[in-house]
Amino acid sequence: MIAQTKTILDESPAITVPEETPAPNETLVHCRREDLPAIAAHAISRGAKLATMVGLDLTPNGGSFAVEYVFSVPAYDEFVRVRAAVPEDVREYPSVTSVVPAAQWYEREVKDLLGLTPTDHPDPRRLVLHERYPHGYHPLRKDVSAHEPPPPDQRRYDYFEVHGEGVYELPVGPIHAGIIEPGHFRFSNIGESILHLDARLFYTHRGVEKIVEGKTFDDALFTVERTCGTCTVSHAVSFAMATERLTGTTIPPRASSLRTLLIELERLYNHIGDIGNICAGAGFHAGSSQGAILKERLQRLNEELTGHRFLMGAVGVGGLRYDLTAASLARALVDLVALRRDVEWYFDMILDSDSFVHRVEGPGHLDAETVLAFGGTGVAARASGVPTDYRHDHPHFEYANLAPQRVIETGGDAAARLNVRAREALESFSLATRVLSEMPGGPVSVVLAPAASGASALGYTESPRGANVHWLMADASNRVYRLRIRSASYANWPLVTRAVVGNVVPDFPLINKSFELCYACCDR
Amino acid sequence: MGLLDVLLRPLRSPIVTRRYPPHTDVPDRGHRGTPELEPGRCRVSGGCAVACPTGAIIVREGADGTARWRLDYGSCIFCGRCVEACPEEAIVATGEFELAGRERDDVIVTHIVRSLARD
Repeated sequence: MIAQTKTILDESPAITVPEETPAPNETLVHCRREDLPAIAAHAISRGAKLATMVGLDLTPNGGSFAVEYVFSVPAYDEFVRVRAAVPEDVREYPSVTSVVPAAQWYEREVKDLLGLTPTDHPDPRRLVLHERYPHGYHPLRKDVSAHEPPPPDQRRYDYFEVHGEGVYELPVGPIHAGIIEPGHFRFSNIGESILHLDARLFYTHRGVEKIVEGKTFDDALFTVERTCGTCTVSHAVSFAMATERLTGTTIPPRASSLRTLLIELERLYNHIGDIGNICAGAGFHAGSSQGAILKERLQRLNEELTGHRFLMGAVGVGGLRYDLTAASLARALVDLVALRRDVEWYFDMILDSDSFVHRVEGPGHLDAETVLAFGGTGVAARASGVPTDYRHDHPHFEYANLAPQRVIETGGDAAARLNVRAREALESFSLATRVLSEMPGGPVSVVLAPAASGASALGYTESPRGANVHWLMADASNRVYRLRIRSASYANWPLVTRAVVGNVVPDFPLINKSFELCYACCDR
Repeated sequence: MGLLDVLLRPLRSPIVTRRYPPHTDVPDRGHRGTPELEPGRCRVSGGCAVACPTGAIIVREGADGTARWRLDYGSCIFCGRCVEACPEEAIVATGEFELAGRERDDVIVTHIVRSLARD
């Protein structure tokens, strides 16, 4: 039991004795399901943040269903996990969304995938499974096979409608003009101004969490790594970290340093590519072309180091799957110096361009209260003055030693999100260079000890878009029993729909690009 | 820095695009391309098929002392695990990346290997 979280829990109503968890900074407690809203509200009032929420089917082992809310306590680098059993014959629990709005999507997802209904949820519509999936089909239940597709259904999805004189609807997507993933945006406007945006995502639900169930950790990693194309390191490392925390494994120093390097290289090519995309959204073509050139050079560096432009394949359970060659690491150090110089010039070029800066200042304003209420993370949160960064809040790998500079902007608009990325990219150059010049020798992986049946643990990283939290439970044969992937984009999408309100429709592409969220991270 | 610089500085940035074709045979440095089997070295341990996370490799032993080794590049994710798993080092990761074919079978490679395990 951890001292600081004890004070939070002691004052909470009706909580059981904390249970042992394999990871030292996690505390697992059980409560009655009717106490969930009070406990969640209490935790949030004491500075905790909702990190993820998991629905569980424990019926094959003679248990019941369960829901678990995981709170991050950033001040003490701790996690509080509050689990409540949901009986098989009732399948209902009280929603916490009205007191903790950040829980809104998680509870809707648990209803779709496990059939557990959050009572009094303010928006009980479907989220993950679209209307093609039949009523009563809940794929994450253990008695549902991953290999038998359900019979197709066809129901109506009710969009949020705004009525009144002069109000009209504008549908955009799910098929877009550019190379963009599917997402439907239903705008309700009056004149040019946006009154409300209803975003419909999850078009290509793949069942990643279902198909990894029963796989060995080694095999599951390849699937988890492909959850999305641009946060591959973050997903692979978060999952591997969960397996290591589950089994009490410490990875070798060289693996820890190399993982830190890969995480920062991923942030670099993403941040610079995203800045280029913001230039494209603002119609500044010199900026988008130069951004694309720099991103391409960074991706070639990725390929030289790991054999893959998106850094796939390097991360393994227990460390790395292979060591990176000394020659490629030495060349990376040289390349990064040259790239940094060109990136600095690039930032000077775009930020000295008055017409561009005026274009990005103002659109998509988001205040800190909204970010906190809806559980925002990453660049979007830091650009609104919310100092959340898992590299500080929950230091992992080399981040405790490196102590990266915290980048905060308070503008809350597209320009603030661009500036956070620009400053963080320069910091990532420094971090990557430091890790490279202090690279320890030795092995890059260890063999994991077996995991206890039913044990669970978290793995987490700060991805280019924010905190990426994986919740993992092992079965009796050292395989995946349940995995819940909470990507940063999943936490931030609800913010986009709020940031656009009051803006004009032609600013939507720019606002959307200033968040640059991932669709595949939702379509798990 | 003014507008003139925005116009002139990009002229000094390196060109990252390349002609394609004709430089089809030069992969990027470090590129991890298709795994390929050297049939003469294979001892049919089956390690590659067990290691493959997507089931792209199938090894089927025949009655006559031979085995069929089949790799479907349509399922391969180029992770290189088969290369690591082979005790005979019969599989090598090449730099090959041009895999497009006109038919589904064009991306399936089959080798008949002698099953020396039976000798």
